[in-house]
Amino acid sequence: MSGRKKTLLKVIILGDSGVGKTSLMQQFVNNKFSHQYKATIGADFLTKEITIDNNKQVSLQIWDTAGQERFQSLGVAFYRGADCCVLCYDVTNEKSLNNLTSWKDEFLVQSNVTNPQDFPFIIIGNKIDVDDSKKIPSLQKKLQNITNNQLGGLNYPVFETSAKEGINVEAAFEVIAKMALQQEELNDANGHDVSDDYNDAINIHLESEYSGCAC
Amino acid sequence: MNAHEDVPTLKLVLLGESSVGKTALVHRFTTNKFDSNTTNTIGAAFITKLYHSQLKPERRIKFEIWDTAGQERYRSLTPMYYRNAKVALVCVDLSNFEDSFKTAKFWIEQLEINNSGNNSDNDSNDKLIVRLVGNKSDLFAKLSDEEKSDITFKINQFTDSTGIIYNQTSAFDGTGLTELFDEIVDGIDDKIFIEYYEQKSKTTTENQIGSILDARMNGQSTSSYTCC
Amino acid sequence: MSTNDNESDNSVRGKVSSSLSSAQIKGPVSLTPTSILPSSSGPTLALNLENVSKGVTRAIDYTSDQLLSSGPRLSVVSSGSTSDYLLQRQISQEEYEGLTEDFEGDEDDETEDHDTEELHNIISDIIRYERNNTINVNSLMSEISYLDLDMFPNPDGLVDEMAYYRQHIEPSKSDSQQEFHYKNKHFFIFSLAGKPIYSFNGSDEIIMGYMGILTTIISTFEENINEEIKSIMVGDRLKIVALNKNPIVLVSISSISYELMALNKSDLGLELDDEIQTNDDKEENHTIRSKEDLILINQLSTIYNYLLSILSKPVIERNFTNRMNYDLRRILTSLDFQNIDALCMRLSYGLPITKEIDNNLLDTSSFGFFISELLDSSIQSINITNTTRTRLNNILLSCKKLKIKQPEEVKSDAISSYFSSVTSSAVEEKYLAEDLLFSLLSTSNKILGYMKPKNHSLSNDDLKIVLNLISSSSNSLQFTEDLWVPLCLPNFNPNGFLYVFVKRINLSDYFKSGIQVQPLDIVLISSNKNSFYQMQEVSIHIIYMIIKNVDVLNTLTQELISSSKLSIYKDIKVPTIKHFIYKLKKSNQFIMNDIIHVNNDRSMNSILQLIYFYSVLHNTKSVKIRSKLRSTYNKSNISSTTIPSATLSAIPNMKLTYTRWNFPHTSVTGFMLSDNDYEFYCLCNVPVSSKDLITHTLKIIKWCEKNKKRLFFGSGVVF
Repeated sequence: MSGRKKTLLKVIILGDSGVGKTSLMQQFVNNKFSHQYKATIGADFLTKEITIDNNKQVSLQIWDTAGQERFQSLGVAFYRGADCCVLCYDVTNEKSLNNLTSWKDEFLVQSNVTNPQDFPFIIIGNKIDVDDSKKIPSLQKKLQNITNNQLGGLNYPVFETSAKEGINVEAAFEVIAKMALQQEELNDANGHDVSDDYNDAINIHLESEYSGCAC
Repeated sequence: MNAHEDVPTLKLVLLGESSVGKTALVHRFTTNKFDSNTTNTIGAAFITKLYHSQLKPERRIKFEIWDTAGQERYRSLTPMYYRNAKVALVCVDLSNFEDSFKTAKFWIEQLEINNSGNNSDNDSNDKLIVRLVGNKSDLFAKLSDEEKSDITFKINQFTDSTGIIYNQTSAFDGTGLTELFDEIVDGIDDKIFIEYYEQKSKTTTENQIGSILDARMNGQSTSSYTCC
Repeated sequence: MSTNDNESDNSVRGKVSSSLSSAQIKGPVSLTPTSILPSSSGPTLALNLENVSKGVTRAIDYTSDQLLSSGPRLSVVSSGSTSDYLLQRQISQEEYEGLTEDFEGDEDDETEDHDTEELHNIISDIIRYERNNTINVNSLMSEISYLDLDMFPNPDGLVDEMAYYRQHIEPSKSDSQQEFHYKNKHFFIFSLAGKPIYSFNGSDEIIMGYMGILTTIISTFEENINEEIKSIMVGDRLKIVALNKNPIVLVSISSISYELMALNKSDLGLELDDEIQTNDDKEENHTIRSKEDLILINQLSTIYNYLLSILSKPVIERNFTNRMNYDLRRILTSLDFQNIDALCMRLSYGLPITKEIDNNLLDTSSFGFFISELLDSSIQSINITNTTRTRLNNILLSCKKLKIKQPEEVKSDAISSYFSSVTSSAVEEKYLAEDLLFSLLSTSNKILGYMKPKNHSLSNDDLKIVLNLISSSSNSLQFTEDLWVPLCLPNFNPNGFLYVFVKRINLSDYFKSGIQVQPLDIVLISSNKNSFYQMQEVSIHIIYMIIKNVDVLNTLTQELISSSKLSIYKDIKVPTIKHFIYKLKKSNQFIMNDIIHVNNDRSMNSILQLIYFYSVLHNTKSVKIRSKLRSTYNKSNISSTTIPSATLSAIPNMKLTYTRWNFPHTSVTGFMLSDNDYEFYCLCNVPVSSKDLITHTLKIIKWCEKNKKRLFFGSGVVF
C-alpha cells in the first residue's frame, strides 16, 4: 500500500580467509574476476541493484568482511542491522567448511538479532571450478552432516558457485535477496510500522487565566 | 472574487498517494495554472474557491478543499479532513498506476467504513460521495496501447463492482477538470440550495465577515474582559 | 582527485581496518595514523597580531610563502591575540595620539561620558596600531569575487563564479564519483546499521560505501575504545564530524575554510573563549567538544532537529526497536529530502536552493538563517515601532479572549457543513482559541509579534523549526492556502506533536494603489489536532483586527516597507559601515540591515562574501579589553563605588576583533565589539580610519540600545 520503490538490504558475507568472499562479490557486482589474491583489510562495501519477482527493486548493500582472526573485533558494527548473512566456504578447504557453524554463531552473538531461528542465512561453497581431485573428499556427506544436524544445524539453502567462472553467483544472491525481503515483509506484517504516531498528544497544563492582563 | 460571498459551502477532500498530483489538481482548479515546481504538501492545505457549473450558473458553491499530504506518516490525521466532507476525490496517477491504485483502494475502504458509521438519520446528503480520479491523463496518452487497456480494464472492473464514479483529468493541460467539478455541483440536490436560501432569508444578513467579527468583538467586550 | 580502484567501476569501495593505528580508507579521504589527531600545522587563515607585532618583515614572509604560493589575492590582518605586550600597550597608551580630539558628538547622541571616551581611545589605539601593519597583495581582479577569498578549495582554479557554484557548491545526486568528490561539503545521515537515510551529494551507489565505512569507524571507536568519535581531521583542509543520535548517525565532511578555521586558532595554543563552556552545556554527553567542532556539530544538530520535528523521537525509536535493520527512508518523503537539502545549503552557504540562482534576486532569508546559526541560534527580529509591535501583540493576545456562541448539538466542525449560519436556541459560550498555545506574526522569517503561555515558551531552536517550515512551504502559501501541519518541537517536547496553522496575507491587497509589501505570516500553534477550524477563525480575527483600523493597517504597511532599510541610516550618519549585525544577548535576538546587491546576478557573490567575512570575524579570537574604566560601560545601574575595583574591569567583559582584507582597489574591514549585553559586528567596504570606525560603531550601538523596543520582539506577550 505504500509507494516505496526500493527495498534496501544489508548483506553480510562471512567465512574463512581465502574462501573467495571478495571474488564472489566482485563477480556479482562487476562481473569480474581477478586471479590475484588480495586479502581484504577490515571490510569492503559494494552496492548492487537487482530486480526480483519481476517488479520488486532491491538494493543490496554488501558488507564484505576480512576473514582473518584479527579483524573479528569489527563485530557488532558490521553485523548490526543486517538483513541476511552469507556463510562461505571453499570446496577445497575442509577447515573452512567446518568453521561455518562458528561463523554463524559469531554472527548471531554479535548481531543480536531478535529471532535467530528465522534469520535468513545461506551457504555458499565457492571454487567449484577446480579439479575434482582437489575438492574435499566426500564433500556432500560432510556438508549434509553440517546442514542436517538437528542441534544448531545450518539448515539453510546451499549454493555451489564459482566466482572465477561466474557459475551460480547471481542465482545465490537472488535467493539471498528474496529471503531477506520475505523476512522484511514478515516484520512489516507484525505491525511494527508507523501507525498512530500523530496521536501522541502533548498534555499541556496551562494555568489558563484568559481574563488575565498582560500589561 | 469575493471569498465571503454568501453561497452554500461544499467541503471536498483530496486523497491519494503522494505525488499523484493532488496539489497540482487543486491549483489548476483554483488558479487555472500548472506549476511544475509544486512540491509535496506538508500536512494539509485548506483552500476555498467559488464555483458555479456551466449548465446551471445559478448554482453557486463555495468549495472548501482539503488537499492532504499523501505520505503514509500523516495517515492517522486524515480522518479529520474527511469528516463532514461531502465529496472525496481519491486520486490515482495514471502514469504510475499500480502503486497509486493500491493506495486509492485503501482510502476508498476507509471512507466506506466512515460512511457506514454515519447512517444515523438516513439522509443521503450526509453521505460522503466518493469519486475516483485518474490524473495525469496527458502522460497516460503516451503509454503503450497494452498498458492503457490494462489500466482501463482495472479501473472499469473496480468501478463496476463498487459503483464509484470515475473521472479522468490532467492538471497539466486542464483536461477533465471542468467536467469533474461541474458534475459535482450539478449532482447536489436542489433541496440543499432551496433550504439554504430559505434559512438565509430568515436570519439577519450577516453576510459580511466583518460584521460577524464586530459582533463577536462587541460581545466580548461586554464580558468580564478588560485590559488596559 | 586520486584515482579510484580500477576494479570498482560501478560501485564505491572503501576499506576500514579494525586497527585504528593503521586506519586506511580508500575513496575520497585517506586517513593516515597521524591525521586522526588534529593537525598541528597548517596555514593559519588570519595572521594574528602576535605574529605581526614581531615585525612586518616576518608577516610578509609568511604571507608570501603561505598565501601567495597557493594563489590567493588577498591579505588578512587580524587582532586575534591577547598578547601581554598588547595589553600592556592598551593600558599604558604610551603611543596614544589623541585621536579622540576629533571625535564629534552626533546630533542625537547623548553626551559622551568619560568612560565612553576612554573606551574610544583604547579601541582606537588597538586598531591604529594594527593598521600600520597591513599588507597589500596584487590581484588580477578589479572587483572582489568570492573566489578571491580563501573560502573554498579550488583545485581547478576556476574563476567563473557560476561554474564554481555548479561544480563545488550546488548539491548533486549524480552517479559520478568525480562530481561527488568535487563538492566542498557533504552531509550524511544513516542508521547505526549503516543504512543510508540521506546524503547531500551522490547517488545511492556512491554513498552506500561511505556510509558503511563511517558506520564502521564510529562503531569501532565506540566499542573498542569506549569513546564516542567526534571528529577526524584529514590533512589540514578536510574535517569529518559525527553526531551519534542512536539509532541515527549524522556526519558532515567539510573543506570549507570558515568552518575549519577555529581549529587553526587552537593550533596556536590560544585559550578558548568563555562562550565555549556555555555552548557545551547543550551537549548531553560529558565529553567537552572543542570549539572548532561546534560549527559543524551545531549544523548536524539542526538537521537532527528537523528529523525530530517531522517524526518525533518516539516514532524514530519505535521503528528501530528490535529492528536495527529498519530503513528510515520508508517514512520520509521527497519533500523531506528537499527540505534537508535546503537546510544544508542554508547552514553551509547561507544560500537557498533555486534552479536558476543567477537569474533570481536571492531570497535573503537563507542568509538570515546562516547568521542566526552563526550567532548561536539567535533569532532575527525586525525593526518596527514599539507602538505597532504592542498593537500586534495585543491583537494576538485578544484572540485568547474570543468567545464563540456554539449551538450545543453542533460540534466544532459546524462551519464546514453545508450551512454555515445554523441557528439554534441552546447556545454555550466557549473560548475559540482554547487550544492555542503560541502565536507568531512574521515576515520573511523575521518575527514581528509573539504570544506565549505564562508557563511555557519556545526555545530559539524550536522557533527556527517553525520559521523554517514557513519558508519551505512558501511555495504553496502563495496560493493563499491555509496550512495545517503536525510538528514536533523537540525542545518543547520531543515526544509529541503540536499543530501549526499558517496563513499568509498580502497587505497590498488592501490598498488600491499598487503598494509592494512583503507578505505577513500568521502562525498559530495549537495543542489539538482537530482545532483547524478554530485556528482558521482566529486567523480571520487577526486579519480583521489589522485591516479594520486604517491607522494600524497604514502604519504597519509603511513600517514593513521601510523595515528593510533600517531607519538607523536616516537617524544617524554612519557612512562607513555598509552592513552590521547587532545581537542582544539577553533575548538572543539579532537585527541586521538587508544586503545591498550590486546587481541581481551577483547576489550570490555578495552573500558568500558576507558569510565569509562574518564567519572569520566571528570565529577569530577576540581581544579582551581590560581598561581603567572607573564605572562600567553602559551599565548605569551599577554604582561604581559599591563594587570592588577587581570586579570592575571584568563586568563589561568587553571584547573586540578587528580584521581587514586588503584588495588592490579596495579593502574590507570587519569589526566586532561585544560586552555582556550585546555583540556587534560590522563590515566596511571602503578604507576606513579607526577613528571613523569606532565613532560609527559606538553610534550604532548606542542607537540600537536606545531603540531596543523597536528592534527586538523580546519575550513576547504572555497569556
